[in-house]
Amino acid sequence: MIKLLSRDHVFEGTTITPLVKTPTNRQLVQYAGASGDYYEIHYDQAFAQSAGLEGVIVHGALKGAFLAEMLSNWAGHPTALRKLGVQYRGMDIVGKPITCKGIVTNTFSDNSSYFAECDVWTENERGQRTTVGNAVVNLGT
Amino acid sequence: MSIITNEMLTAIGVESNTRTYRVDPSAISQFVEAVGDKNIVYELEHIAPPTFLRYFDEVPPLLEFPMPYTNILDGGSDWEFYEPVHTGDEITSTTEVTKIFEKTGALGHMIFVVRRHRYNRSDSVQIAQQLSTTIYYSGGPQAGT
Repeated sequence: MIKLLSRDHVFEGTTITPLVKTPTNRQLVQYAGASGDYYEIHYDQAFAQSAGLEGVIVHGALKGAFLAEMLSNWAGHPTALRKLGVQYRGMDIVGKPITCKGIVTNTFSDNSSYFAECDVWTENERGQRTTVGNAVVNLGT
Repeated sequence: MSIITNEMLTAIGVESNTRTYRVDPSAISQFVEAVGDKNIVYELEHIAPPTFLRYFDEVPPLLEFPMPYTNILDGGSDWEFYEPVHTGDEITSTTEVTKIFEKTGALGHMIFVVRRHRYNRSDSVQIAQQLSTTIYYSGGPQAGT
């Protein structure tokens, strides 16, 4: 059953239900195939290190997809997501948990719909924000 | 000293890398499975997750000009979603460079290239836009920290 988020429950300061993901090597290879991003830093340890990295790193776009998943789950439907901006500020290592979080910073309406503006981010297990961004979610009429 | 060339700057605003694809249902299901997204709406409504459109981009992007660095990182994306992607849609993506700038940091000298990707359905309706930032870097002793 798909249940849409009601604007009656969304205010400035409302917390978005977090989402925790722990990408595996297998998942990175799956994502490489599904997105067409076969850059070797995401599955070839030696290549990643030769590129100056600690090791194999999680695709930034996969972290963006995790944030979109969090927002879609919270809103009740993926088409509610109207804008998503993400900046990859830190690298996430395979096998470590990534926690997606967000908070509503503003609500507004136009002629037909209500919207929530949100700050969103991912945190690594040390609590460092490795992705920062913002989103606009349509809360319906 | 800047290493941004005139050739790089003249690429700004020029449309490049047009690609057309038909959305196959298996491509959506592979993407959903890879992300680990359990939402049943994609199967029920035959639509794709918002960032599925990455599938339509060349990754790493095709270069519009010679680049001195081969090391590449994804710096981020700014998406605007107008219409959902459905299975069977024929989608054309067009790309243009909108901005080029440089910085020096933990990865050494870095050139940032911002590209605008427009995604249009075959009925000419624009369904999304992405501003992507790609970082080309020289590499440095603190890389990866």
